[in-house]
Amino acid sequence: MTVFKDSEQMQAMLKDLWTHVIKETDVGPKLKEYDVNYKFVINEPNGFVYVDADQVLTGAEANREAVITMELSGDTVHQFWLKQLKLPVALATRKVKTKGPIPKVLKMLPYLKSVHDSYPVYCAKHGIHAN
Amino acid sequence: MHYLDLNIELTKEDIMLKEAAHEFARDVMRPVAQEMDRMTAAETVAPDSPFWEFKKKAYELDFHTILIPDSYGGMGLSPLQQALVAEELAWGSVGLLVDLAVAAFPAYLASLVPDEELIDEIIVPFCECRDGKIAGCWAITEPMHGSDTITPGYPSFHDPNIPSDCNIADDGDCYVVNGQKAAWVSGAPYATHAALFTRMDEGMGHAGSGIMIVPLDLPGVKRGAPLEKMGQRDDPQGELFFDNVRVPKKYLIVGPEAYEAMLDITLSMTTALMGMGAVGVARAAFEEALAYAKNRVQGGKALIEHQDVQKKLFNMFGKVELTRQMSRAAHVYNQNTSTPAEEYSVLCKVYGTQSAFEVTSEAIQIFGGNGVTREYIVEKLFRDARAMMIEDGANDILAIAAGHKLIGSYPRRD
Ligand SMILES: Cc1cc2nc3c(=O)[nH]c(=O)nc-3n(C[C@H](O)[C@H](O)[C@H](O)COP(=O)(O)OP(=O)(O)OC[C@H]3O[C@@H](n4cnc5c(N)ncnc54)[C@H](O)[C@@H]3O)c2cc1C
Repeated sequence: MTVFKDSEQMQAMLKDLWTHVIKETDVGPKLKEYDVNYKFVINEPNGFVYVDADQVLTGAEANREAVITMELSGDTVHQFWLKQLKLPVALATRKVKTKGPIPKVLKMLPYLKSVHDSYPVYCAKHGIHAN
Repeated sequence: MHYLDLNIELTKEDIMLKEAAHEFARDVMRPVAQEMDRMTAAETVAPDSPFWEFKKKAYELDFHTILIPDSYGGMGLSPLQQALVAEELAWGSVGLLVDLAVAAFPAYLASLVPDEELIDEIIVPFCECRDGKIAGCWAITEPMHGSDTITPGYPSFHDPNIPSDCNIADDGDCYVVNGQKAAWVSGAPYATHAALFTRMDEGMGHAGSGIMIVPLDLPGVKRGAPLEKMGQRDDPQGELFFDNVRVPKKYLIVGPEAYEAMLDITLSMTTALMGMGAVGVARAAFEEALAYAKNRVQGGKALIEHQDVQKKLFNMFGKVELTRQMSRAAHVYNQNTSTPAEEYSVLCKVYGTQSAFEVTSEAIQIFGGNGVTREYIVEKLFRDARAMMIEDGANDILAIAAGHKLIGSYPRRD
């Protein structure tokens, strides 16, 4: 059983979460300052999420060029934002594969705390068990 | 001496950075390194050693943070910029470059885990340090296990019958470290923190290790005497002993579940860095030989006018250029993916350090008798290059392990 019911639920929840994060926290300005944007290529359930300083896209239109691309499963998305999976372990075990400059991946990490913090709240909002 | 950079896309910032690193290498690193080369190992870390002045100046200019993201206060260099700076610093002294690189190891590893306590305790103080007093080291080699510890993916890496000299045990709220790391740990005589790569699960062989940051002021840590050695005498090294050292759990970066792949990721960075170090050392020797050959007269003409010397110099030049192109390309590629093609980094290290050894040896040949005297730097460069063929993994065993990997990984898809 996967954490997300289907692609629609997962993409809707992640869009909601990231929209909050880029508009309400310092993630948006930092993405702009560091010239970073992300594409998440998710499997089980399949989906795309694209995030830059101004917008969050999902579905086919999110499948576009990005500075950092992360490939991972829906369950890994969940574990990672719940801090149940450390990044080095995720990378080493290839649960997360990244393409794009590793220094840029690392320099954004401290600002992603707000994604970790907000994640359980958005899980609850979208009816997803946060554990 | 400046060289033609074949990369026509270097930005103004890249070039300024390269020049700043070169100035520092020329004005600070070279003179300090040559002085330390003539001291005993104990003198190199004594309070009046010029080493501390080097550390202070390097930290003031941020050269200790070339691997650390700027969001933590590090230099935040791109992979290409890291390569540019590493070559210049190695031109000044590869031993001192290694010292700076390992100093950053604990903070670099902590930057992979954005844990607030690690940021506050490890990364930020290191980046803000200006006097060189906060420094890390990379403790992986053991007295009885050198190559054994550095061959992820090789069958013996999983052999539970190959023991370890240093172990981490789980003890409730803490990990407990017991054992010893070898006298080869660069920076160990004075480091404040170790990036400890050591065994956690006996049943898994060396693959059952973990990576942990160990503050070296914890009770039970002892250090050995600084090591006397042939090359890189400006990189102080020594043993680390652990006697029931209790380390809080937050300092564990990865455990056995991901150790082997994490070591691969680490080595794909360090071996490419060794390639860049090799370029710096080889280039330094080539430039010395070229200048000498223009002045020394034999057979009624300058050495440089003899065809054989021209050919020697061309071959030396070729090795410098090839190693540079290879190392930059492999480092930039591998720093753009989380699934690095480590065999390319190993190629930089094995080919690059072998080339640096050959180039420094040829430089001595061009210098004739003068080349083996202490009056000229080429003999130091030769000794430094020789040590590089063992440092960060002996070339023979790195090649064996990478060759073993090629069976399954060639051709790579990503
Ligand atoms: C200048 C310098 C700096 C260093 N800095 C550090 C540091 O900062 N931290 C740290 O932890 N270590 C450091 N080292 C240690 C270094 O990583 C080891 O020396 C290296 O891994 C080789 O281990 P060893 O010396 O025990 O040689 P051994 O493992 O005993 O190998 C000796 C030789 O045996 C052969 N051999 C070994 N295994 C095999 C095999 N399986 N198959 C075939 N042949 C084999 C190879 O020819 C090899 O060269 C440094 C070393 C040097 C020289």
